[in-house]
Amino acid sequence: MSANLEQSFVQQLQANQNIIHKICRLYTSGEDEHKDLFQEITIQLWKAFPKFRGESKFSTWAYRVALNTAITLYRKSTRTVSTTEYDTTKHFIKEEDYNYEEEEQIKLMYKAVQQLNDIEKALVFMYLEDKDYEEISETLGISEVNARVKMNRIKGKLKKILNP
Amino acid sequence: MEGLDLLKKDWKKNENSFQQVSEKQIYKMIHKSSSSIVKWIFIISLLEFALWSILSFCMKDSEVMQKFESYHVEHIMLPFTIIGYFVLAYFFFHFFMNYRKISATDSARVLISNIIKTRKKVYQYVWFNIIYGILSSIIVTYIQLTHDKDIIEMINQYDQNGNGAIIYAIYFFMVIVFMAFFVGLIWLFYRLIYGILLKRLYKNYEELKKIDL
Repeated sequence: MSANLEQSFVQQLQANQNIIHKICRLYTSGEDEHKDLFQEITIQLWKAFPKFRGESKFSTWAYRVALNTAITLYRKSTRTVSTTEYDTTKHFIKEEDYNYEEEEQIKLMYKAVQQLNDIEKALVFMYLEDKDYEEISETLGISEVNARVKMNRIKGKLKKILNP
Repeated sequence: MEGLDLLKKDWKKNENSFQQVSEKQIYKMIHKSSSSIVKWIFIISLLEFALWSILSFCMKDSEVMQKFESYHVEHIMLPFTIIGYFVLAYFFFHFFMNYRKISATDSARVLISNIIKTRKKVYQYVWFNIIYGILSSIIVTYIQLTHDKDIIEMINQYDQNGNGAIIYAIYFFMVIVFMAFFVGLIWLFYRLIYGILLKRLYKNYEELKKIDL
């Protein structure tokens, strides 16, 4: 593949990398795993890039490929089994707006989301990213109505995990 | 504010807090090779096609097959060989076409379905080989019992003693044991390899189907 294509890809990915980081955050539980999935998503995006014609935004296209990689293509590597679970919420607490009760709840919510299955996580991810149900349904290949129903069920399931 | 909305607030607040990967690191990454499940399925499938083809080639040069030539039963064996090649070509073509359809830009459901379809072709090919193997064993046994001079002589001897049925029974028993062992081995291989590799894929596919019931 040409150097121009490579440069264009690297620049766009660098600018949009938080999308991938956020997916890694939901689908992995350790730093090594995060890096491993980030790399696999990058490779899959690069492989699909020649067919990306710019009809949609790079970010919209990247969402789909990245989610597909996390749900379907990624095979957890045994060589990177992490022994140190890293607390994903640790660095998100800022002193000035520290609200103990709220922070505890957020921590619990992250833990609850980690317990969901791959597809449920994908729905939660797109909900957190403010994606509309049309995009959710197209990305997962389910109907819009059923995506809504499932999202409501997930909300119920999360409530149950938090208040058993 | 509670539950997911609280999480969303935190999610938005911290979406730029990830340690950034540099352009140089991305360049390095895109030159590394993928370890995706599709790549593994592709490699294992190619190995399977190769293994079954090599197996049938080896069979051709085996002593049993050389002995077979002396029976002059080409009219039975030739169609079997030709069918074998046609079937291999058919399955390999479909496997490859399905593999080419796999695209990470499809919806999750279509993507998983295409991967499963690709896999199914190899699976069907393996089952064809098992059935083909069983059928050939039956035919080979029949030909040996009716064409092999040594065996015919032995059966005649036993027949004179009134024990002809025992020889048939032992012969068929051995064939059945061999076939059971053969099928069992393949079953074990599939449970192990694909159980590990495809479990998550099937689980996610079932989940998507369940949502859309």
